[in-house]
Amino acid sequence: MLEELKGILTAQAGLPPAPITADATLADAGIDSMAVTVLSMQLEDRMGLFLTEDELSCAPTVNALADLIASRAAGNP
Amino acid sequence: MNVSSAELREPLGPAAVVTGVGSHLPPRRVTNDELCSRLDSSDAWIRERIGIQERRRADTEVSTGDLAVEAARRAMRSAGVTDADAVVLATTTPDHHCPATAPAVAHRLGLRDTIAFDVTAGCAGFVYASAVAAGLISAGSARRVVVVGAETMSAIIDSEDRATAPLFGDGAGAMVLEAGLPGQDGALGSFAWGSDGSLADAIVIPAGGARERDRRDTAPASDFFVHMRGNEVFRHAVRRMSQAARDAAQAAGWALDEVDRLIVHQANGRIAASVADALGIPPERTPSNIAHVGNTAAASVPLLLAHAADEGKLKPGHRVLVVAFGSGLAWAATSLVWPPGITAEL
Repeated sequence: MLEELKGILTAQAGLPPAPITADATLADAGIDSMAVTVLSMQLEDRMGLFLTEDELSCAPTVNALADLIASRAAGNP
Repeated sequence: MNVSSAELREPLGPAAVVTGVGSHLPPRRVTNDELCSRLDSSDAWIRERIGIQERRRADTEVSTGDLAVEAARRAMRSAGVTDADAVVLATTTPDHHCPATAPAVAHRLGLRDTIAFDVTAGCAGFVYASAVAAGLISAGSARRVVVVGAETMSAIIDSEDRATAPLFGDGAGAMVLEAGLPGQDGALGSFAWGSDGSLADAIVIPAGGARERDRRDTAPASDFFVHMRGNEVFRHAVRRMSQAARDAAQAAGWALDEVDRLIVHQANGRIAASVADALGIPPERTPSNIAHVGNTAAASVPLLLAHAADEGKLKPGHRVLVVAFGSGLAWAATSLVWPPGITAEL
């Protein structure tokens, strides 16, 4: 899931890839509110997943964000 | 009730055919660095995140009407005409609350007894105005209409608001529409347009209108500037523009991979890219000028049409989709096949 997340953040949200590392905080990774909105919309379109910007923004690290998405995709609340 | 694309009928009566395009930008350029002297932001962030390097700013004695006159004059020169039956001016920054700005623009263009009015639909204004102008033509009320999008956004943007100050610029663009045959090159296709007033406060200038008339002396200065819920607007802009563009393409009988050019309101670099991505239209078929003009609201689409035509990015025979979104919330899209013989006047 981490690689797909990186793909969305760079291709669709237009972020530079280098700072987006597994242990980086969202701020250090450059994931701003607009990128979170793009991510939320892409998860809706691609996976039918409805995660709000607030939920996504709470993830402490990029890895935790990937885990949150994977967990929700697996049907966990 | 929103008319589905299947129900978007072919325009009745004469079609509105593009015969000229023009644009005008005030000379003064404002760089990101100049803005950042008063903003907690940086040139690199603004370039990278919203794709803007500089924008234009009208001098204090220059207003929307002045920009509109120059753009309209050039569009008329591009069309090779000196007369028109109507002037329809899309703007969020009229010279005055009253009267509308269009009549004075028409007068200054040397036009007399001309139908002239303003259209307010935020950044969707120019495509809204084009739809209204096309309606005048198909109804037989006018045979030639000058449609203008003009803004002095610097009048309504708080230069210390990090969310809006980097985005907006001043400028104007115009187009001449003349009565012609439905389906001929240059004829505007059906319009896919609508609004969602439940989000009227997503982009708003709280004070200065009738609603807040009792707070005229007490409202903080910031309430006379644009307030925008950026992320919410981002989401709705991408969703609504993507769907309206799909509807307009379907009404024109085009598959999306048959679209040669997507002219999308230059809201910010990422919104335009997200709409193109959602439609599967590649960057090379999506002209952009936001880097040097910013978001010029209702002037954005005509400025991009004029610049793209001038740079040879709009070629005769190109299938073109035009889509915009703005305060209201409002959105509008249409289609045309780019006609031969258009020389943009910048």
